[in-house]
Amino acid sequence: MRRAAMVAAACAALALGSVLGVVAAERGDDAQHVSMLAMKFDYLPDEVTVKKGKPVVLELSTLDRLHGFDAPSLDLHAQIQPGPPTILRFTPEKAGTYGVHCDIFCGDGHEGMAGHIIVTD
Amino acid sequence: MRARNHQGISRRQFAQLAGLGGVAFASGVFGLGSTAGRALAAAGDFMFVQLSDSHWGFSGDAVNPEAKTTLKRAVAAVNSLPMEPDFVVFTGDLTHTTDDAQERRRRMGEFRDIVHGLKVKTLHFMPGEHDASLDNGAAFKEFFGDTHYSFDHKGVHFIVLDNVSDPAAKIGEEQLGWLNQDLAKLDKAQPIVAFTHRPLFDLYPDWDWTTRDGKAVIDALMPYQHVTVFYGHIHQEHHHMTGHIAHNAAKSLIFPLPVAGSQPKRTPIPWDAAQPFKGLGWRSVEAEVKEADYKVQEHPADKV
Repeated sequence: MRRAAMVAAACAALALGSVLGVVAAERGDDAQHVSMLAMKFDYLPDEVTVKKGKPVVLELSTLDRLHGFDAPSLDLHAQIQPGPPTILRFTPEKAGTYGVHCDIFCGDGHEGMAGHIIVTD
Repeated sequence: MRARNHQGISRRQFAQLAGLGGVAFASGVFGLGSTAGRALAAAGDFMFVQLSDSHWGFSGDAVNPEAKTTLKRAVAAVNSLPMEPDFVVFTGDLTHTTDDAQERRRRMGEFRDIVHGLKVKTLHFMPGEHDASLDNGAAFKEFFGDTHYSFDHKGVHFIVLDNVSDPAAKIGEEQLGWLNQDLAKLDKAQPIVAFTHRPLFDLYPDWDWTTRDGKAVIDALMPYQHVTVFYGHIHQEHHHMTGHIAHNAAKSLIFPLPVAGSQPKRTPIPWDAAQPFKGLGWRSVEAEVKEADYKVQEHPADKV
């Protein structure tokens, strides 16, 4: 039940994130805006898709506690603190599927907290 | 050096891996310990046992329906060695993590009671992330003492490093400073064994099988000629060299993990009812410290 409530809150937060993304686009921001929400022991969504060669603004938030975000093959690394979102900016150079995992130990289930960033041509 | 290995590595390969010029090891599985032990008893200067990743408190029949007996079986197997080890070292994840601080302490208390059944004079402990990362090692210290320290034994300098109490898997500046001070007093030819939980090198960063600042430790150890690292965390036997430093991962006492990158997630390998305890085990290490080397120069009497 608690988890269902958290997921609902996560969806609401993601909806807000997409609104913010639209606002950014309306500002003339040419970047691709994507969001991932961390919670024990998932990322929501656990897969985001972006285009190669175009700047990406990745907004990371957490629902419950400090989590990590590590995508070694994209050379992306951040700690996702509770509170204001953590923003990562990068431009993917090569198409492919890149693994993401939590690298801040967060409890029984931490080892399965992983996702992907898919970069398309 | 005398080596015995039960995992299919030849004696020559083993000699290349051991690095210490005198530390050999044999990985034991339940039922093979006594044979290995007899060979070891006849061989070296001393012998110690490495147990790792027992995850006491874990439950999950799909990966280990014998979770409540596996550690106890290992204790019995070590006790059946024909020669008592000089010490037993536990390289982390003694207990399985829990958010409940009281339950964490209950598991540590039970673990301590079980391993105190080992017929050995000295036990050395260090935490894994399951023991220490949720409370920065507080409960571990209550039960087992410091999370990093060093000790000397029969000519070998042993260094226990903590790369888990920081949940971001860092050794940290303070501990690195302590390490450099500890090493500064040693001769470059001093045999050194380091115990860690996580690998110090980037074994597979996509699964977080690394230590964020592990390179700083390797750099600090590199000037020393005879260094061997024994660690846990990855729940399988693994051998790797960084320069002349040998890194040897131990099997787990709860469930095996897949080979790095062999599947999308680092989820446990399911229990095989046809081969119970497959992939689980422990390790005995024979240390045969090199004899002193004397440089002799003759001086003729007419130069007196």
